[in-house]
Amino acid sequence: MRRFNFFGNLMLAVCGFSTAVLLVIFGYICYLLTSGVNALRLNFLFSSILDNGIFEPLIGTFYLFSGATAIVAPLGTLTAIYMVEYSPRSKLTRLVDNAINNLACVPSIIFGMFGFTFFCKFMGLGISMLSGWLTMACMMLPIMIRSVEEILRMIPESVREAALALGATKWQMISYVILPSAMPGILTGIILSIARIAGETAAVLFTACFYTMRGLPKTPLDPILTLTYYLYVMILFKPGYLDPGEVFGLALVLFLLTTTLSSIAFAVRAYYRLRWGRCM
Amino acid sequence: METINLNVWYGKLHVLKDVNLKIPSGKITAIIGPSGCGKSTLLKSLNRLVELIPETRVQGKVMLNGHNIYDSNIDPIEVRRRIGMVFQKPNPLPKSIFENVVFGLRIRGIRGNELHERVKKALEVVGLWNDIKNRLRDSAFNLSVGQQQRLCIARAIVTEPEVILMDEPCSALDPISTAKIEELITSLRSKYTIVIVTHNIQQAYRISDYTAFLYMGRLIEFGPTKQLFERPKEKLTKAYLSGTFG
Repeated sequence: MRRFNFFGNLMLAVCGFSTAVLLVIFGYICYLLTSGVNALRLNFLFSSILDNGIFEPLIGTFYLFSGATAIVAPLGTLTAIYMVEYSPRSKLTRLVDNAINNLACVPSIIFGMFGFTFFCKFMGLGISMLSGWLTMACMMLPIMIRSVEEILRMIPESVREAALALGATKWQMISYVILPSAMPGILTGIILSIARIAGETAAVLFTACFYTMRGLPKTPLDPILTLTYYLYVMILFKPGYLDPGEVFGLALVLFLLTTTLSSIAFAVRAYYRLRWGRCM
Repeated sequence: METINLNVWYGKLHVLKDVNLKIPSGKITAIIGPSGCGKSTLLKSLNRLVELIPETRVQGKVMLNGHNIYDSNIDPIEVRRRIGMVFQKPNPLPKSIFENVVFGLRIRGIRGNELHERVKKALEVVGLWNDIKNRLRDSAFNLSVGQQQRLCIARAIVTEPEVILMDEPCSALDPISTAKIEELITSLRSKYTIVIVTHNIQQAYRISDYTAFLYMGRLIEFGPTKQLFERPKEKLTKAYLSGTFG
């Protein structure tokens, strides 16, 4: 009896300790970021990096995720539609399924390496925004495909049957009925992609960013700065260029951007589950 | 509409065996029989929906206005546009009430003011118009199940098909909604050829003009409903109607 109690108390202590560690880490991150709050002024956000601002990295981040999303959203959606609506269940589709899963687990620096050797060197795009878009699109493709696929599989068979029985062609069924119903899934995929891309460092390190660049890119073949890359440079190579408060401000902007985006994605998904849960 | 030596296989399973059935125009024909006898398969082979089930093979003919709808030069899409269908469970599309009704028109490329008129007409026929005329933009899922089924019937008739197929349209409904749907089906009789699959023998008796009894994939007996129910020719029919099996 005593032994059992001792074990129970031990487990309580261990579990409590784990939770406490989590809280401490989270609290410390919040504390660190709060030291950046003072830097969050409009002229910090909107002045050039030459004037100790973060305008170029901020806009560069927007450029990066806009372009990459414009590539990955249609590509991922169409692939998911093919996987769910067209392809018969076979060995090949299972292989593709596995490839998608495995691709989602590849470390981003390997995507960076791939982008550097394939897009920058082999295709001759150089260190450019375009290389960054393509590399990011490759990295986000599995996530995009999965979130659309998940929603497509939630649409009941009876809906497809209803459309086809009314004489819709397969493509009419997909475009009039399936795609609008899958919209929330597509949006979730897009927002999650954006959040990942905005927060990504390793994959842009070799493919899209150049610290020596000045000003915003004029063509997709120009390199860009992103918030992540700028933060990396500021910490490793140019300590003291920005005030510590401003470095934390930069980190805070990045943190807020990605958390806001993923919160939106979760809200959209929750709304969708609620809506469909009610009507099925 | 007529089936000639119709055979259907799902993989190796022989589901319909040499079914020869002449469906009278402008009448209600009920298909009855125990579960798994091939009623729904027969219905779905009348608009080639059966072909959507993987590994299905169809042999024989289904004639509509003198043409075999399984002819290689006939487009199954065209067939389904001429034959409406109502399913067991109401299956509105995840769209507004209005968009549900006009779906069949939109995919035929019909646009403009005509749509509203035709929606109104179809919803009046199924007796929904007065209840929902102010809620046409609401989601179809907000309707009650009985209303949803009537919406599905409106969706099927708005394109003015020649034949309407109904696969146990009342089995998911409560008795009051069932009564309303039955009343609706009988009111459609003169305008359309209706084929209805039902599990419910009394329902077949109440609403149909002709009845076909199917057992283990074979058409056992077909005739005017009254005659089939009161003086069945086949022993099997008699046994089924009296509840000996089923």
